[in-house]
Amino acid sequence: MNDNKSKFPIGELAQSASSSSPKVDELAEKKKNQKKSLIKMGVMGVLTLILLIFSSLSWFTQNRETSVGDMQIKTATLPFDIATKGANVRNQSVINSKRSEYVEGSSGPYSNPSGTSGTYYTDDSLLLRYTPEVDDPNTTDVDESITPDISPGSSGELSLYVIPKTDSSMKVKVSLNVVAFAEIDKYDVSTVTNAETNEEETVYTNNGTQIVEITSLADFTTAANAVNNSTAASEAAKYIAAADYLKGHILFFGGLGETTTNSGSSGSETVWEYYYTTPYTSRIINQKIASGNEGKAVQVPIYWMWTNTLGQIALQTNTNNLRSGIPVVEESVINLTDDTDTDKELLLAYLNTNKSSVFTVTETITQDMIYNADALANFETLSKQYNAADYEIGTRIAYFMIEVTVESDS
Amino acid sequence: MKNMIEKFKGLTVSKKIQIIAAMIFTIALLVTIPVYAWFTNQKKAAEMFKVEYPNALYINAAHREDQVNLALDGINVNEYQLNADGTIKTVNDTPVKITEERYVFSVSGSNTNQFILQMAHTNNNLFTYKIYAATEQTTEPESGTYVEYKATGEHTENTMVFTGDTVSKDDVLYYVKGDEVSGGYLNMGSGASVANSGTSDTHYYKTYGDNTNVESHAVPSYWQATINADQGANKQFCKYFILEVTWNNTVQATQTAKETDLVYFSVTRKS
Repeated sequence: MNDNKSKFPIGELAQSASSSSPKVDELAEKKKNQKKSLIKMGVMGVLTLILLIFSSLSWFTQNRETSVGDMQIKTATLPFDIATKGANVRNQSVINSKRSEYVEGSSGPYSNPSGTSGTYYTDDSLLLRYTPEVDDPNTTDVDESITPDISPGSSGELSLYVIPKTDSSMKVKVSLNVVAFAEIDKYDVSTVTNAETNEEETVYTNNGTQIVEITSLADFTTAANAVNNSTAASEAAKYIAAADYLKGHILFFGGLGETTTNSGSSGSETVWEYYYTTPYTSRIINQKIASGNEGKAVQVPIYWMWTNTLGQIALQTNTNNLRSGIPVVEESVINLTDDTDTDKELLLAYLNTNKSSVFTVTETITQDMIYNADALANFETLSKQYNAADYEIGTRIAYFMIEVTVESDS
Repeated sequence: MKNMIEKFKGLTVSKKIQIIAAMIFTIALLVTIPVYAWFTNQKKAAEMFKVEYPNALYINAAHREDQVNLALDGINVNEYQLNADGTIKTVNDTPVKITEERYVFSVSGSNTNQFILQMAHTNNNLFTYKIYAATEQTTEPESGTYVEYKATGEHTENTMVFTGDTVSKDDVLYYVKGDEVSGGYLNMGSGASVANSGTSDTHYYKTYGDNTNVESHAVPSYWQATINADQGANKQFCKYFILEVTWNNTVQATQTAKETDLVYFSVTRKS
């Protein structure tokens, strides 16, 4: 930086002896300096750019869909293991064909915080398990041996446990993701010469089905074309929309609701007043694990539901008797001006934010309609489009996967 | 440290640039690696669920036309059968009354292997209801019992499309009566003219609870049959049925007041 000074030391005259005039000399020097600083700036710019690329690269990895094969790297630094418990794995062959990294894991006995011991399975990429519900043999409900497929009205609990490696309290962050798959017909293409016209004809022969993950329009179209299913390829946008509806219609909750006892002539029975509390509308759970649980299986309660009717979600009072079925969360009149968010307020806000994922939106849906669903006209519009979305899900989606990511949360 | 700075100062400009660049790269790498480490520092779990295909099922008039075209009204027990020339048919100089009416309806849908067809009816008129399988054809059959149906082209309720389905408005369709559908009453004994009453009957109890003061002819009789859908490769099917209503004139003659009966059809997917 002190080039000037070294060229013109104090006490020395400027090179007046030189042939050129001092003014021209100064100008040339100035120009030289300008050039120098330009190069410096250029270098700085390049370096900044490199830094930017590096930092944006890291930014990119932070937000990337977590589907790469690096998953097998041992994560010894996490202060906990994850575990699951239950008799069976649902649709194991299907999930293994699509996500081979998920394994049953190693089983071992663990006890829960209250001391009850059981068999749990642990691994870093774990297939969640479930235990089929034991049906009451005294009732004539549906076939007890068959695990029912999922349809509107279905619900369940994810069997997810955290086993801390230390006795200190910790926080875990659980992210939930819903991934949809379609099952489309596969075709073999062959060319056959027509005996009458002697012309070559393309013949499509059905050859079973293919399960395709619904990610993007381009990927789905490619996958459909790969199995020569031009119908599915041309309807790719509808499959994408259906996957979006599925994500909108599966709701997650953190706790069970209230029951009430009805007594009638045929005896008393316990029925749900509402099913759940604590909706996880952001799909992110910040769960605190209490201290003193080293080596114990602590459950992270996650309930999911594919609500059958809109009335169960959106109605605040049901004064017009529009609801069929039991409310999903406690019904209450919303108050948007107070500070606290009730479960009902959270759900309605969710419906409003995710309008296009919950409703087919063939007719305009406004926030006002969602926040006033008890009015018959609003209810009819919303309900119709909620059901239409359900139909789209049912006709396009064959499987869906709930993916759970567990991290340390400081 | 001072030494290093001195050394650094002594370097040429290009060397300085090189060193600075190398340092920045190192720092950048150091930043990047922890990010990747953070990325793997998580555990994952997943569960796969199978979605049930919606079992679209429709009950419509003939040729899947809107239900309004399945009109069961206008049964007149005092009408006489006519000959081809329009005169009243007689047997031994006694005019013969009409004792039967037939109506065509369809059950169609998708992704259904078997469905349960249910008919629920009241018993005010003491009619007999029987359901027969039917086949559709566009030319008039030469023999057999059949029902004529003039297409209206109304398909607002059921828009399913079948290959080769080229019927348009005012085309006449013929539905040939086939075998009787094997089903049975859930709450009416054979030969009985009314449904079982009393709170001990499960169907009665479901409808009326503990109430016992119910007119016996108004108690609905439930008839059910399990039917194979025989769906095609595209998982669609359409089946036709003929509802045959018959009555006994001597019994009907005792009925002086006009009565109304309600007949309900419903279908549910069995598998």
